[in-house]
Amino acid sequence: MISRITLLRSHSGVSLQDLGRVQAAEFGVCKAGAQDQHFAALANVLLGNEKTDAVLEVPLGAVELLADDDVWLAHAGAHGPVFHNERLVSGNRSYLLRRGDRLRLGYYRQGVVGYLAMAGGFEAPLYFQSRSFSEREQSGPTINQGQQLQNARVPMTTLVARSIPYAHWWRSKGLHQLYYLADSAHGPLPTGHATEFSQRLWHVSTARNRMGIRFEGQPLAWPMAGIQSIGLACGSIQLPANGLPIVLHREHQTMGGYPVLGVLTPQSQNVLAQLRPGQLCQFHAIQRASWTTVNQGYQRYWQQLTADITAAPLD
Amino acid sequence: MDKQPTWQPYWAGPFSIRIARAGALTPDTPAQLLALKHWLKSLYGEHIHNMVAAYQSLYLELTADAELSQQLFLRLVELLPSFDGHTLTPIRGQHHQIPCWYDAEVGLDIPAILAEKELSLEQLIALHSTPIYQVYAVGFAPGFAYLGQVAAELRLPRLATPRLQVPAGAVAIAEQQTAMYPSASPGGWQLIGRVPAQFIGRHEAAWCQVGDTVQFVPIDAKQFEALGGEG
Repeated sequence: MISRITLLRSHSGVSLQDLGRVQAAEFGVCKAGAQDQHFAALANVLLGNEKTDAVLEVPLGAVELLADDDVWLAHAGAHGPVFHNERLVSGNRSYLLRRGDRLRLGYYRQGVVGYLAMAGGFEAPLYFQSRSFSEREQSGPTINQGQQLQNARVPMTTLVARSIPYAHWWRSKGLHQLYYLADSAHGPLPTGHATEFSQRLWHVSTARNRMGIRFEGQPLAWPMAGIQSIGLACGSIQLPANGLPIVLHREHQTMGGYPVLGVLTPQSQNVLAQLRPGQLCQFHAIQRASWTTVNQGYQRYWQQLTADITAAPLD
Repeated sequence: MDKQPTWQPYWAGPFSIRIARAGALTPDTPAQLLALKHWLKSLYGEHIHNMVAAYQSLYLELTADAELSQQLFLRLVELLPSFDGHTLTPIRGQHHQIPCWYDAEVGLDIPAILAEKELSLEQLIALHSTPIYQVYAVGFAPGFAYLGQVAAELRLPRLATPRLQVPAGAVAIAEQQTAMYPSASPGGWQLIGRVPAQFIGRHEAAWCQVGDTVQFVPIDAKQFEALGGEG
């Protein structure tokens, strides 16, 4: 059954996101995609969706939905109060909304981006094989307050309420550790830069958006030379002349000419998405062989977590 | 054609590889990069999600699979020495003339540049508008074309702190390259002028491609307004 919801209350940061555009970078079009791909995928797992289905990315909370039909929705990621027909319920779970029901997300108390999934995935026009919207380019399907959304396909009929175990919810820490691949560094970098970079504490500046996150702290020495512009990956840690690193994120430019200290691992890219201005971080260089082992560990963790979610319905 | 270049792969991220060409940048380099791009697409297209050809390197974003990325990297180490860069299709580019208003009102870095380089505004305009630039890459944003090469007397480093917002149509310089920002975005290049609104392109109606040539034509404030302005 095709189901519809209306976005009663929204704001300009709310957008549809999936894993991002394909075969687009050669035109200078950014990849876009969900900032925290871990929780975006979990929101889909809660509903038996494909983990890559489009979801609503909701920064900071403060949205309200009306079910125009019976519909299953799920929330995952940054969390705060959630109200189902103004009754306080838990976040990080799925919900069955009957026609006329409302679901409201209050302001988040932990994290930055939360995700709302719809059983069957959200329908929207494709742009370079993706339903992701780019704030920077104003390209891709738009989401506005008052808009009606529907699912892309008929969902599984045997849905039950599920939740993410509390131990696996996003939690802010006093100091977050971020890991980057040292073999992806590029450009003339000062001697001992990796050690200096890792020893210093950095805090997220207020200049952060889907394109990138600037950090503040004691500046690093700069090599006093740019580089010929090169293609760039999400998670690239650029070092401009002021010595303050910028980490590129989902709507990063396709090319750039500042030296690159390394590239964040996918897991650290997801963590970074949840960090608020002022939060402290420490960066650590990791060798590829070590990251491969870590990545394998993450895949096993993912399989176990999704199995736990699927095996234990709420009711 | 110049001597066969050396191509070498480097890691550029968890699932990304950059293939870099050794040697000096030449007018043949764009054609060599395009040939490499087509060759790799024919071999591994199903595993390559995005590609960016930039000056002397080709960036590949692969399927998010660590083992596959490792296998492809090793395969490229074996294969690249055999890449025959001489089977090139000459690029037949278009020539574009773009009006540009050079003035401190829109070229915010002009005063500092004139002081540092000990140039007059007229000299800056002549140095920037005389050359015929080649399009070496399209990237950073839709319709953003990297043009080279800027006259040696006018080469400038990027800003120490990139601007959070550069307006659409801004003309700027960084090192040996110049460009026009097709849309508002953050940017670290030094601003020297502005292109009238109607000449700003996006990828849907891509105004240029690698191999095209571009020349900037100086205009004054009145001509800028007449051509759509937005200074």
